[in-house]
Amino acid sequence: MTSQIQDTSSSASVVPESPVPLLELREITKSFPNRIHILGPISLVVQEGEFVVVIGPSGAGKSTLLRTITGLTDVTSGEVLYRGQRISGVNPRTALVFQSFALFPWLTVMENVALGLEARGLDKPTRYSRARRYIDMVGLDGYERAYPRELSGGMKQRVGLARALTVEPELLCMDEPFSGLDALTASNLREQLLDIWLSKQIVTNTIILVTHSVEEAVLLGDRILLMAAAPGTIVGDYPITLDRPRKRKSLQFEEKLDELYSLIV
Amino acid sequence: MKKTKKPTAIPVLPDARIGSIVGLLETLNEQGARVGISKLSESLRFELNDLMPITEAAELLGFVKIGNGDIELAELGRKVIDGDENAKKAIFRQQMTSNVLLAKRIQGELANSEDHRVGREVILEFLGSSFPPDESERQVRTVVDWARYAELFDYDSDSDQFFLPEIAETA
Repeated sequence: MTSQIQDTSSSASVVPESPVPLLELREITKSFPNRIHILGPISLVVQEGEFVVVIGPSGAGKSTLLRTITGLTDVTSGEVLYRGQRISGVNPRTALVFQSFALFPWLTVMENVALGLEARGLDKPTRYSRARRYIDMVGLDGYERAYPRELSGGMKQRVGLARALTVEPELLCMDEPFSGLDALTASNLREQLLDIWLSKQIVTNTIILVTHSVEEAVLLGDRILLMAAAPGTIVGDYPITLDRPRKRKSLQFEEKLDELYSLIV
Repeated sequence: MKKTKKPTAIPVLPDARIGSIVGLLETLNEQGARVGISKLSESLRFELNDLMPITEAAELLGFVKIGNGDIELAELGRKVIDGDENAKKAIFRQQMTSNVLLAKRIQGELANSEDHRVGREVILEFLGSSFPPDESERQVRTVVDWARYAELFDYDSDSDQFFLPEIAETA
């Protein structure tokens, strides 16, 4: 578990200067109004460019953690810092992709993707040209006029991904984005996400993804955070240094997988 | 009893989505060489019944070779994996135009129609010679999914018409 308390009172000339992390959680906790304590304390530092995967049992507060990071949920105590600045309310530099896709059924693919830009005060031509760029990027061109009901689960999640990318977040949070999909569709979308992320054609360079699949975690992550439940805390922080693209059948991959399984059980 | 001439049967379009088809190719690429289809279904935790249409679709499009219960990535399938999204779409477009009768039929109707729009019922009627109504609906759903991905033609579910998007945009 990583915990860094920055000393702001002195100029700290002895300690080598570390860059301001993209995200820092300082002793955050979350309790419901009925005082049920569900999360924390959690301290965490995420550096720019990391692909962090969070795994843990259901009820460990993985989704709540993502919601506090994006600012959709307030913390009860502690601080969320983004590039060293304390954040309260929704952080516009982040976006969240949901497991349930969360699309509006009465809007077309284009309208669903462009929707997130309306709140940013962009005019319609700008919104649509920006949306079109990300629709193309996730391979949805041709589907612009389709309604969600006409799409398979995999295509719906591409819409969810395009909608999140359209707001050009620096930090992309994904809450079990592939768990509602069959194995082949999920594998296809994972590849696509990695292609986009590794190609560096987007401003989004940092990803925090929640999953319950250890295999998915080892396929995707630079670093795996393991959470435990009641209350949700981070109980492990493991680097994954395997080369990309990662091959599920390779010996190194299987060793890493076994190692993680043994840590979890 | 006099036999009536049976109309030419329309080949069935397997009920498979684009994401699953490309996912299958990626999985085969990872597993390397030939794989037994039943073994594959086991390792993917996929019912054989659910996997079959995906393998059939990949075969129809020329992306895999299937024989003796084994499946193997074909050269074109490898090109699909290696290509970026636009290259993938171009291969799908080319393969649909040459291998998918229903797509060819709809393209033909669109080319012949003055406003380049064709009602759903025209295509359902065509399919009706070979399939019961619910299967015809499924065929339409699948061909629309593939055609959108390949950017071959589009479907307007408000007016229930197939159309050519680039023509609709300039009109």
